[in-house]
Amino acid sequence: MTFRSVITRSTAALLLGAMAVANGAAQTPTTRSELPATSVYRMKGSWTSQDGAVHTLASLRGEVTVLAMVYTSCTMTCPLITSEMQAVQRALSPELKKHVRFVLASFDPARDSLPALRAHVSKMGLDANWLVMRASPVDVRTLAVVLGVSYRQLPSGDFDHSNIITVLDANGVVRFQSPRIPADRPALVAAVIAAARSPGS
Amino acid sequence: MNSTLRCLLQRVLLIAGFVAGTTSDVVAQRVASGGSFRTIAAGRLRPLFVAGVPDGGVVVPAFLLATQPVTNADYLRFVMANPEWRRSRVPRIAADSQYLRQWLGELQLGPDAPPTAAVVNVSWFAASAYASWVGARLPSTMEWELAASRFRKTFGDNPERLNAQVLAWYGAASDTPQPVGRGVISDDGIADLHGVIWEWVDDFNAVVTSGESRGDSGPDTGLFCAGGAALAADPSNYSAFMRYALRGSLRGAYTLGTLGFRVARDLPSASKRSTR
Repeated sequence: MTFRSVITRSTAALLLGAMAVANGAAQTPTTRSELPATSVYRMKGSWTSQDGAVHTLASLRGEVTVLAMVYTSCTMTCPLITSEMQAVQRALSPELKKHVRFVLASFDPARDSLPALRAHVSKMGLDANWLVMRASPVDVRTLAVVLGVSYRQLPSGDFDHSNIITVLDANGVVRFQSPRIPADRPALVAAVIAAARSPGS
Repeated sequence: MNSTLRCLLQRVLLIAGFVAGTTSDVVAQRVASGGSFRTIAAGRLRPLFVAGVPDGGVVVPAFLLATQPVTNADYLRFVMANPEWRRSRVPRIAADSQYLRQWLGELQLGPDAPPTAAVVNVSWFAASAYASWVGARLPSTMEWELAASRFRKTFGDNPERLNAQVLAWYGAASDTPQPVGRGVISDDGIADLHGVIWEWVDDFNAVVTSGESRGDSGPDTGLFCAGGAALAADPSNYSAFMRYALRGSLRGAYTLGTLGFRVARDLPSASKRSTR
């Protein structure tokens, strides 16, 4: 390990620690009609799903959602992310399956056209509870930032990105995030069940 | 913020980058309510820890950059016009509890927030909303680094001379909020890139760390192991490493007393795509 890499890592750890302390934010009380102060669905964003329907983030309110950001031409971790989410779906009871939405949000508006999204649905065998969505670069960046997902486009056109799978309750509050592949599948399933049982937050 | 972190951030801020750049157009452009902008001419830059970059780096297209960071007075106008960005109303998902803490009141700057000092304790969401309100955007990492690398007129081509100057800056650092526009001006006429505050960039979350990425060529490998210097453009560009580490530790709702922002715009007729 080089001197510089030691400095860089300790710097990052120090900053992370300090900011975790600084970020101990309190939640404010909310009414039933208003989204919670910590809801991801407070962010702006206009997403188009494989069927051409347009969704604001706020319009996703109402169902427990399992969400990840991918791009459909990805041959590395993205198919694994989708497989992990499919495994979570399979682990749910038939009743619960009806009330849980699965969302893949694309990093790649340039290449993920609606036909590309539809091809991905078909290729991965995704059922009617799945939304595969695209948005403008600004809206992609906003969703990634609010979820803590890092990404950047490489000179090849591919993306380096986090492999985060997020469980959101019906109000869009993050209940659990699995940070990597292989995912923490039992924890994802448990978070989905808990979010479905206690929708208010 | 603890003193160690503050010290570290100041050090980061005061170490100027050094990358040879092309000369730039210095025609100022006044844009309504977005402040004064100058053209940053296209240039080549090597991003840190990105595999597959050509030897000459990647071309960053020309763009417009604000000559100064956004000030408290600027930001107050934004909050007056957009009540949802008042301290009492901003949701926690968009800014943490330290948001605008240096202001005396919701719409009152006070002694810790001089009107001409850079606004700090603003989240990425807040900075982005401000930029959108003035018809601008935040600069990208590559744009910011390109602009911050052009100090030939001040320091010439000698990195040692630059380092000496940087140390002098560091010694003169103050905790008192400083008016913007008084520091060393870049070749392009941009003030305060180094020495006053840290600045948000649009894609601060482009730093992919810890168990992420595609598995075969993760930037982690480059960052933490021996590949670091080989993948980096210029191993002596210490400040760029520090900025990289800071950005990777931020979240969109975080606010810091040393973190502000400036805005950028596309050139009216510029192609937005960078050369790959």
